Amino acid sequence: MFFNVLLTVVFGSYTLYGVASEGLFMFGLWGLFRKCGVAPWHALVPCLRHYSLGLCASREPEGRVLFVTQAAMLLSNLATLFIPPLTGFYYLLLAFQMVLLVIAVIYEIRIYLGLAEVFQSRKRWALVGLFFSFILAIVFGWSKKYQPKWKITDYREQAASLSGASAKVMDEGLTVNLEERSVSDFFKKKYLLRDIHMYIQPGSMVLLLGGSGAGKTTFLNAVNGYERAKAKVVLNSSDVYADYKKMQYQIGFVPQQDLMRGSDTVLHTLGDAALLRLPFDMPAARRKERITEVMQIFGLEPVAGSLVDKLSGGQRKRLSIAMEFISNPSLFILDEPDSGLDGVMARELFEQLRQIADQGKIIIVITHTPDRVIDLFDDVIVLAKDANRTGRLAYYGSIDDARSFFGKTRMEEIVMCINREEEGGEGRADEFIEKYAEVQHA
Amino acid sequence: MPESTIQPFEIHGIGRHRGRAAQVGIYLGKFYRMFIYQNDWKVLPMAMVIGALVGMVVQPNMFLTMEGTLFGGFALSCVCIWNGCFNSIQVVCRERGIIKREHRSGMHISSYVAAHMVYQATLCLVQSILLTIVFYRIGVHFPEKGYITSWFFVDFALTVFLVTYASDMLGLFVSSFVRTTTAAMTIMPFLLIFQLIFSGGFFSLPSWSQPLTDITISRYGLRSIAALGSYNELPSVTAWNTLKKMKDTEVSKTLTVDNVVAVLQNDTVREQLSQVKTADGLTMEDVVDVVLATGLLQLFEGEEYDLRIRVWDIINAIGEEDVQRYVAEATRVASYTPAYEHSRVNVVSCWLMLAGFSILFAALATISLEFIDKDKR
Repeated sequence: MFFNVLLTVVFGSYTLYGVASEGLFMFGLWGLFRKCGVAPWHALVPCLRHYSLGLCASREPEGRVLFVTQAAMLLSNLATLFIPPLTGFYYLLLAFQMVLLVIAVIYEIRIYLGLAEVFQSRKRWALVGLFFSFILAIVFGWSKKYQPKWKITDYREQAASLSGASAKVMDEGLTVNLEERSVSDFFKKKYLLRDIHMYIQPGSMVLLLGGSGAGKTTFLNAVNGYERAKAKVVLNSSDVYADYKKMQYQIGFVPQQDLMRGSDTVLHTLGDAALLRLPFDMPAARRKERITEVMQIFGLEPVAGSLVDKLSGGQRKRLSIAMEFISNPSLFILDEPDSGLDGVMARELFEQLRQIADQGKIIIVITHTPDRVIDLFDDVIVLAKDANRTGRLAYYGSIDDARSFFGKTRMEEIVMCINREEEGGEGRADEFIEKYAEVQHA
Repeated sequence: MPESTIQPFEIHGIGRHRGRAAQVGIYLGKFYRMFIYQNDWKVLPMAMVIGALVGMVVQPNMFLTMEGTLFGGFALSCVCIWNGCFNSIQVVCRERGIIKREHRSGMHISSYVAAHMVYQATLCLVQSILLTIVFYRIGVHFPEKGYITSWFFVDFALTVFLVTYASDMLGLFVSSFVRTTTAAMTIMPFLLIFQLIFSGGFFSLPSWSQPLTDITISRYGLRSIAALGSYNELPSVTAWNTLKKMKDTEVSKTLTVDNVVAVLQNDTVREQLSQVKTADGLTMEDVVDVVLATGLLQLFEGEEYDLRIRVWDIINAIGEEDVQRYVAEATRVASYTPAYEHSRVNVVSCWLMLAGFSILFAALATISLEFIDKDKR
């Protein structure tokens, strides 16, 4: 029995064919992992070898699923050694194994297809891998003819060093000193954002610029305290994280999608927003007055009785902003407020935001078409992915200074120059991160 | 743009924001508006149509025979579980993004779920009343007196409500952890199949599945309906109906005189024959003794006779009513099920279990939604 258990743990099976094929598979993986830049000993560890295979195939998410599936399969295989056969529970376990098998096959196909792509070979290799995984592993692992397009180590290149700067906290305005924002990603610490320090004056309308995956929304969520980072965020002398319960009503966040109930009227939507966001002891008459005022500001009075579902895209967007504006926040954050709007409507919306900023509020806006409204902004924050795929601050300052800093005239060109080469950009993110760090120190 | 007249101290300086109880009111208002404008009201006529279809099928025997009550109770539990799950399985996941936004703006998840509990309770109550009326109008035989309350209608409607509401809260829980309505509707058939198969009343299940049976809503629904309908006191008709179906079936047997002599000499038979008296005051046992003593039967030793008789002839010979009464009584005793015992304790304990399920699922929905901020963007 002990021998069977040992064989099952190491090879996933104790039958002769199972042990032999898995042994050959491990031998093949040893070579394959070496070629791809993964530690070869991963081939000897049950479950881990499947995850690492996913890494080599540039299919990490699939590798994770396969890791979990293989672990469950291993446990259930072990359980079958101890459970009396032909019992109800035994059959239940067999059914469970069948489910696992189907999942494993689907994810193996995905990984083998990825592997064929990485080794620049035909997709039919995936079929070979599915039925005789050891053949695929040995051929790709030990044949000199098959070499991977890239190695895992390529991604571990040297990123720009940390600036060590910090922004001074002022009585008014927004100060952000973000050390890091990280997540635990499959037993590894993954940095989403690092080393971002800035001070934004009241009355500023700031553009937040960055390529896809640079961490723009993560940054905004860290600033408004919704997803906390290792950071100190101070708004008008109050610590956003320490006083979150109080501060959440001083920060308005307008999401990209118009998240409102279509079955409510505009008046009901604003009424409920006011009930949630305004203090309990505010007189009802004053609350109604505020609702009317906000409807006037955003031009929603003519549609007060209309259902949200019946509103135009522009009206819906204005209602979404009005919901947050009802509590008169000091910091107003908008995630792509112009998505789905034509040029004229987008311009009108940004002009309205400019007027709000002129009342002494801080407005931070993400937009993917900044050049048509750039004259309305005071400053720009540029976030870029460094070599480790971590969001870093590549620039913060006025629009004109940004143009000379990057040597570009248009904001979209700035995004292109910091985007990675595989994303069609110039891949100069680390260069500007370093350059901006020097500017901060100067 | 006009300057905002609201002063910062009005918002940030004075009092607290609305607490949990006050927020329940806000969301109740939203849900009742959704009921009117978002076609949520359609679940009411749908419940009536399903109830009518099932009622027509179960009407002839429900609360009249054991089998009819069991079948009717099972079908009714299925209807309630369907209605309950269907009421709520999409309500949370279809507005997950909105909940996330409102949670960020100070909404309490517990208030949101509590508002759903109140709103869904109203919906389930109305459905239960409508279903009871439909069953009554279709002609399902309702016992005259109630068991827990004075009116059977109330007992029945309460049971229907509790099963529907527990299923509704189960649906709410599922809706709180799935991300899309498609995922919710994919899970729903599995939920229903699980509830139906493991109800523990209709299908014979292996003993290892007992713990699964204990956690199904259908089990307690079926139990309380059967207990309310006095399942154990009702006649069982399956065996008699089967006999009637076999009335033209011939029973044939080849007999020898030896067989007949052996039967007549059997102690049990002799005992019974001694009870039957002839007109002369003799017993049948005496008559048989005389016949055996004459040696008349021994003359035909070894002879074979074909005996052919129809089942119906045997029943007629004994008496149709007597046979029916005997079969009904014997099968009723054999079908006695302690779980369907007609007692207050049994019914109330089932109701409490259903109420417990409702609270448990609502609590699980709250816990699950508390993690909504962890949703990937």
